[in-house]
Amino acid sequence: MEPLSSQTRKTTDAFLSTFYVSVIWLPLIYAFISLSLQISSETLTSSFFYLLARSSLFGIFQASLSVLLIAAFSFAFGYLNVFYKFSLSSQKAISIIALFLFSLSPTIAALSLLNLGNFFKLSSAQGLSWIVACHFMMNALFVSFLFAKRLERFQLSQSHELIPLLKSFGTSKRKFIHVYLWPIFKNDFFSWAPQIFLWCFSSFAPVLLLSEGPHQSTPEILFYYSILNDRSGARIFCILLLNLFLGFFLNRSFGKSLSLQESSANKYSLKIDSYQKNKFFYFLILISIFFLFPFLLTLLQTISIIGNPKILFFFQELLTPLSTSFLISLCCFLLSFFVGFLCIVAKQDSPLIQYSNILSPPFILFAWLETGLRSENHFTSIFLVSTASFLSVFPWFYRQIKTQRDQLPIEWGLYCLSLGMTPFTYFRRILFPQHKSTLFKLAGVSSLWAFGEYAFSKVFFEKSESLPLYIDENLRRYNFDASSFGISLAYLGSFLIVFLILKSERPSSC
Amino acid sequence: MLKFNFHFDVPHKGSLQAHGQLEFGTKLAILGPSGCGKSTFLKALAGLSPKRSGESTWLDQNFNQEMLKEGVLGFCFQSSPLFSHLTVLENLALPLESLKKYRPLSSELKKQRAQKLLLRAGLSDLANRFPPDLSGGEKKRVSLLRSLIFKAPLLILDEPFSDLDEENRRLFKKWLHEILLDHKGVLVFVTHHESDIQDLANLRFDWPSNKETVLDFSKAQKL
Repeated sequence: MEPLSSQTRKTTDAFLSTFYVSVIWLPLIYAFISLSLQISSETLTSSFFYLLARSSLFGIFQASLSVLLIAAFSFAFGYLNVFYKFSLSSQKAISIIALFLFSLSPTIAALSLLNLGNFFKLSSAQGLSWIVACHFMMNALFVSFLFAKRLERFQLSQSHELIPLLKSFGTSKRKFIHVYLWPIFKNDFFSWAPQIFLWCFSSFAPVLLLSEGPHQSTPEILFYYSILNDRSGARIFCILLLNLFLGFFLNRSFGKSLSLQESSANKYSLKIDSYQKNKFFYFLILISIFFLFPFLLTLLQTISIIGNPKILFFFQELLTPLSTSFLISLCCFLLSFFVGFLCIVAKQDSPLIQYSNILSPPFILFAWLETGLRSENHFTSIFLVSTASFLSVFPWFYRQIKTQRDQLPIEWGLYCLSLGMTPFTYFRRILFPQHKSTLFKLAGVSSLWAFGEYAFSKVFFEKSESLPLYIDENLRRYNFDASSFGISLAYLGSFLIVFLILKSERPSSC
Repeated sequence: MLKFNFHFDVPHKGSLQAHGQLEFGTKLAILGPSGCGKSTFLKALAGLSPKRSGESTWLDQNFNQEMLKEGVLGFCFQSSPLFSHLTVLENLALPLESLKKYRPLSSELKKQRAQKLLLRAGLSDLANRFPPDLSGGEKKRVSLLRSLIFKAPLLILDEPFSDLDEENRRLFKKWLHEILLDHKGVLVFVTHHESDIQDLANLRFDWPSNKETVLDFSKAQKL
């Protein structure tokens, strides 16, 4: 019961589902059918099936490895927290770094690692370890930060006397982990691991940029290459089926969502005075340097060329790619905000959207290309790329808002009803201010990911027309000054968004 | 006058029927064990949650949005649902911003009114704090003030003094008693304490045992 009528919410649900169906599912079904009519079996050789099986295994393996490493890292911080009273979540700098890394576009992160490898002339700067490193760098600190925060909240709210109690029994460290830390960790693990696994499994740009050729591929990359190069109906059909099957299976089994809600310190939360903030200060500095190393290196490269006349040349060269990426990002931000409004009002977690979790850029690309949705016009392409970028993060975006919405106390709605509040006033005074911060964060993250959009840009634009394409091209030409300059500009955008996100922090629950 | 005759569902208990009529000046206290459906009854009575059948009326009119906009109902929930994005002062001023009769007032005047009420209740130091910063007892008191600020003729208070320590309970009850001296409408409140009944109520209703499915408020005991 709340001032928003059931009819209003159902209409919003229907609108969102129709939007999603008309831009993704229908084109995908159309493309699927039209492709199945072109199937001929001569391209389905045993070597193709071998490649397909190997890419699936590689995808699962790299995602599992990434998740395990992130889990181990986060557990270590939990251990330090419990036994050495080391508070990760009280470090403001860590929250900024964690959010910066998490919200950084995967393409920009992968390009930074590629830049690092090229700078040190590492011949094997590609491969499984680099892909896993990219996933690890983007997520480990963020996940650890969330875990530390949950652990501290648990200690404060529910069991602040549990640790002294266990100590009074003379409990050994091993037993302590078994009865205290492990159950909390396990619970926390299942709240983020499924989502991170799905992200790593369907990670596109890092695998495309950092893999060592076809033997280190995922079904999505195979799909992407088949759409662009191979054009074999039968092969595309097989990969599509496999991708959809894996997607549905993974989504059904692991359809949980990683919450962005606790991404930064809540200034209204209680503080644990007994935490020793300085004991692991140097350790924390080392960790920060480790995580930021590829990014700091790129920044240093850029700083070293400041004052050099060629920087003006880079500026000129970058004007078009930068403005294109900026427009894509802005368009995605506005789209996120508009759809976010609707998500706040919507009621159901639509299965059409829920199961779209796995539809990454190649799916949308395939659906759109097969239905002829492509434009020669620069601005139409910008709009299409930003929409595609938003669509690929939309299921996560939608679930984030729904999760927060479901956590609002039911009495809030009842209270507003008791005042005879209109739906509009209820939305304006209660729902929107409550979701504003989340909406802003999500729109910020979506726009950052759109800023680094790679797959669509590569197909929809001419050479180097967007920033990631410009960086990629210069990296491949070993023009490190230009590439590092481009990457640094991308960081600037990320820092700006993170700064604004942290500034917009408000208490989210009572 | 509040009239009601309806069936409502209590989770895990089944359906109950309630009927009765409460005249102006009635201060009804409801007593009963936890989990028997008192809160559900109060919400159904005020038209805030669905009834299985039947109706409750205020001055022979069903509860509806237009009527509620006039500021007929002051409801204090058991869980003190304060909006976490608003300060205590803003939470108190919210009803004044929503109700029709207060719309002509400037927002400054509305805040002043809220400030006065806080001062009167001895809580003025909470004005600029956010709900997550408040203790359970403070939240409860602010929530109670919020239901009293617009002088609704029908006041429904669900365990208004729970979470309060003895000292605050006594002080707040005394303060509420003073406010209610001017209150000419209907007050319905739920409590577990005999002392609350003695201090505030003029009618007492004991929730029947589990086997009974009818709540006959005409059998309520006059005090």
